[in-house]
Amino acid sequence: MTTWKQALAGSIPEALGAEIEVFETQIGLRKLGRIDEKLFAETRLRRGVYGQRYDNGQRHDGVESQSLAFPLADLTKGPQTKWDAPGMQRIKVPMGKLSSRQLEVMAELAEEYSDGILHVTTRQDVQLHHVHIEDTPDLMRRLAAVGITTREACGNSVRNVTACICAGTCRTEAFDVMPYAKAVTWFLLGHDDVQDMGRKFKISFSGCKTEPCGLASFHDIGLIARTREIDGATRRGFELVVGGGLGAVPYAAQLLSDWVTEEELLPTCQAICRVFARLGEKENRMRARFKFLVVKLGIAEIRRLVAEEREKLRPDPRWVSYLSHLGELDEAPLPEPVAPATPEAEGFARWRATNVKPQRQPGFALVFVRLPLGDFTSDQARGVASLVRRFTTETLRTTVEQNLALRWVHDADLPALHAELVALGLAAPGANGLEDVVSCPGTDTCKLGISSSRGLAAVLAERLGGAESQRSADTSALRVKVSGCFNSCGQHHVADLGFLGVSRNVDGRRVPHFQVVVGGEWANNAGSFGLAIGAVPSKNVPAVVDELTGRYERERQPGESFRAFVQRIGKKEIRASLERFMAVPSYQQDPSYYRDWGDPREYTIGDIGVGECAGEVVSFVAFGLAAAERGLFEAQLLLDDGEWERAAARSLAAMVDAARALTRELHPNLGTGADEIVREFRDRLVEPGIFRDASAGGKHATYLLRHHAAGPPGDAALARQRLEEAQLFVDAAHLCHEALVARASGKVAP
Amino acid sequence: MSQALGWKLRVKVPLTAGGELDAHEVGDTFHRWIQQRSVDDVAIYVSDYRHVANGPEVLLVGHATDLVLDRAGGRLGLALQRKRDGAAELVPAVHDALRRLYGGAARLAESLGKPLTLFASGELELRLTDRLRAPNDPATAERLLPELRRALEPLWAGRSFSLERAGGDAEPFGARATCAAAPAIAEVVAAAARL
Repeated sequence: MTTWKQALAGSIPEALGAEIEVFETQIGLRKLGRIDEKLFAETRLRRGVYGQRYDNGQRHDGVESQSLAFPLADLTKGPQTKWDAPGMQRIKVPMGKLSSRQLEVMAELAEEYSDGILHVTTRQDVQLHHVHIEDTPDLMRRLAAVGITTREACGNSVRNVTACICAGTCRTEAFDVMPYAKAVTWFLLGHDDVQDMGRKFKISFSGCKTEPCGLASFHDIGLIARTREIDGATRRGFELVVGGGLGAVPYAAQLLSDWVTEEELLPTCQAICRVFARLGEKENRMRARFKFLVVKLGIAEIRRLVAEEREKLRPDPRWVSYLSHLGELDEAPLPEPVAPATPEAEGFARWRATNVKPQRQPGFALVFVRLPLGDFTSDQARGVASLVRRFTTETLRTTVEQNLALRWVHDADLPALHAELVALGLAAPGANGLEDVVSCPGTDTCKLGISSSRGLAAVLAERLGGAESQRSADTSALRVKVSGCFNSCGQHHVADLGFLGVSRNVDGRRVPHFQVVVGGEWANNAGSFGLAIGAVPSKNVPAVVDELTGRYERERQPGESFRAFVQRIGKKEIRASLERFMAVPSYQQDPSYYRDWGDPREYTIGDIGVGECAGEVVSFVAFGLAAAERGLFEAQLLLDDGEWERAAARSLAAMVDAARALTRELHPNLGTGADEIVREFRDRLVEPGIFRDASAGGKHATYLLRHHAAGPPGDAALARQRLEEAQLFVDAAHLCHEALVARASGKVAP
Repeated sequence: MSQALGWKLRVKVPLTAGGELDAHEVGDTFHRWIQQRSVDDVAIYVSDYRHVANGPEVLLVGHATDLVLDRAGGRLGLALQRKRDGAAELVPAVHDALRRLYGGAARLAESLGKPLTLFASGELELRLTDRLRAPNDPATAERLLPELRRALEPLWAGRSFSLERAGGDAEPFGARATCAAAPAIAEVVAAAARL
């Protein structure tokens, strides 16, 4: 039977196809027990293949914890992660930019490998849940065939680069950041200098300082477009902030430089990544994000280190080559409206007021498609793709508020587009406002979820929807965001009304609660964080929202923002007004408090697992040595098939992989050419006597030097001998790695 | 690498006209089944998508199959999605899915205290959720509709039924079966159990 690999041959870019082949081989090797589970876990995370709740094989059913009897009970895909447990596939969508065909493919994948639902995240990714790991290579191939890679969607890597969805159409932007964000995305994707990080790393772009779209303040690198007049010419550059992050304790990013030229953008980002990879915490996962390093060393020292690292970088033509193609991402509108005579359907006026944003270009609008909890079905996705084709020129974006945005819609087409969205069940008004509640996955699928953020968000959205006539536009514009745990994926710190899932013990029983955080600032690139007021039982959160919005509605001063209102009346007063919602009735009085939203089970935190947000700390060397092992395995298969010439080439490549991994520890600027690698390996590891062991001395090193210098083997016997020598070399490389680690830590080498 | 050898498919029995099921109650029921360890699969999750229009409302997510209260296409019904480990031949794969589907429907009705007649006895929707094996084109229809017909024949006690290709071009290959003179739903459930 035809496979997807065969069916898509010729459609997949070579590099993407090769990566997927490697991953598929790694899956096979893990099933054979030939890859360590931690290494495999980080490997799959870097392909966006993430764990889900209950994947440790345990699930509390409300009465007791049940073991889930997966077929391959003993096989794992990571520590405490059962092979057969369904997982989440995160799909990177750089800057949220999607074509209609890409969306259609995702719709197909959702219904063939997932549950028919696509989920948009707060970082412009798309996620599919309940995916089996053995389906992921084909899933990736189908994505690759439409130009999408899932590489480094999770794990300790540079995550999806996000950008302002209004870029190019915005009234307040300095310039369109899209080509720069794209350049950074592809430059850092798979780059050697971002493979050794102790934690994930997030980058965002904003076109201006005042709007929220880029959310620069809570990113590891936040880039804000600006221009300067230099020598009579307008020059483009960026204000660059670093070390922001949410999590349990949010940190606002600090100014690294108020002017980074467009020519220096990529090398500066590269240098920052190098500093993080070199000096960032690797042991304590709770303090491994870049923000902790920035605080620990201080911004002045970080600035010095980045400058120092920048000087050391090996020049790369890609730093500036993209600058001659800046216009490639420019979007153009359809020349004429396609359905200008369409009458306005019911609800059009409010939808237009809340879901449509005029563009800088007269006559055009950006239309938000509100997705409840970030979810939409495969059928809806196909419908949206069709609308994207009909009403725009492929100008779709996913948004950080878990919605979709269609750009360059003719104003005259808005009634027709609205009518089509009504038919799709996607015309809900109130986008990005009070009733459009943002939520992380929480206890639905996240291993770390403490409370049901989605359950709460669904209830809030339902209650708040349709009540807009009873409140002012200011109140309707407030933002509500819910996180199921302290990792803050729901971005509650920067909401007007934020909720953070916590658990409390009441009379020996667990009660789901949410910490109330008020007055966060979404504007000014999420300029400041909210105030924590106290925890209320989950069941009382809707009443808390009513109380706070009601007070704001009644007591605000003209033009006063919610943040200003909160600051004026004070944390103490707000807490006082919420005290009555903090009490928990006894279980006998009201057992509903002891269950979470949308979940009839008695509440427990027993299902919390080991999160994978932090990934596994696997060094560049470990990945390199694993690649070498994989190469030897493939060489053996080739040899078994009688392809001895290819087998010899593959075994030599495996040795070069191992040598590069080791040598790069001493020479970070090491290139990728085999000649350079072998030369540097000889000079830095062999001749100084580092690559040697007690029994063989440096003998195994000579295998690489000899095989590299020699031509192809003359026969199968010689190829087999070379493969055996390559195996010895890679084994010796492992020993050398241990010696290097011991030397670095001041311990005696084994 | 993927489970390409086994058929992935979805069968759905709609509710009779005007019939409704409360998704909240169905979700609670699914949870209870997991508590009772009475699901014929490794039951993992109960997913709640009530907020999504015309899609799955509540899913009992299993390792190989999902049981879904589903409103796709605007019509509420119960669906069985076979995700993996399905039979390699289409007829046994459909039979397995029908057995699970009608068994699930009967059990759900009983658990909720609803009459089994809530479910339509003479209607069935099928989707082959595998575009590689069953691209949605006329050739697939010509190749697979006869097999689907053969798979469905025992369900309605040999009575005549129509089987037509259904769904848009971009959707997975689908078909709709209608038996105007279908026996009572209890008989259909019993027939499915014998497949």
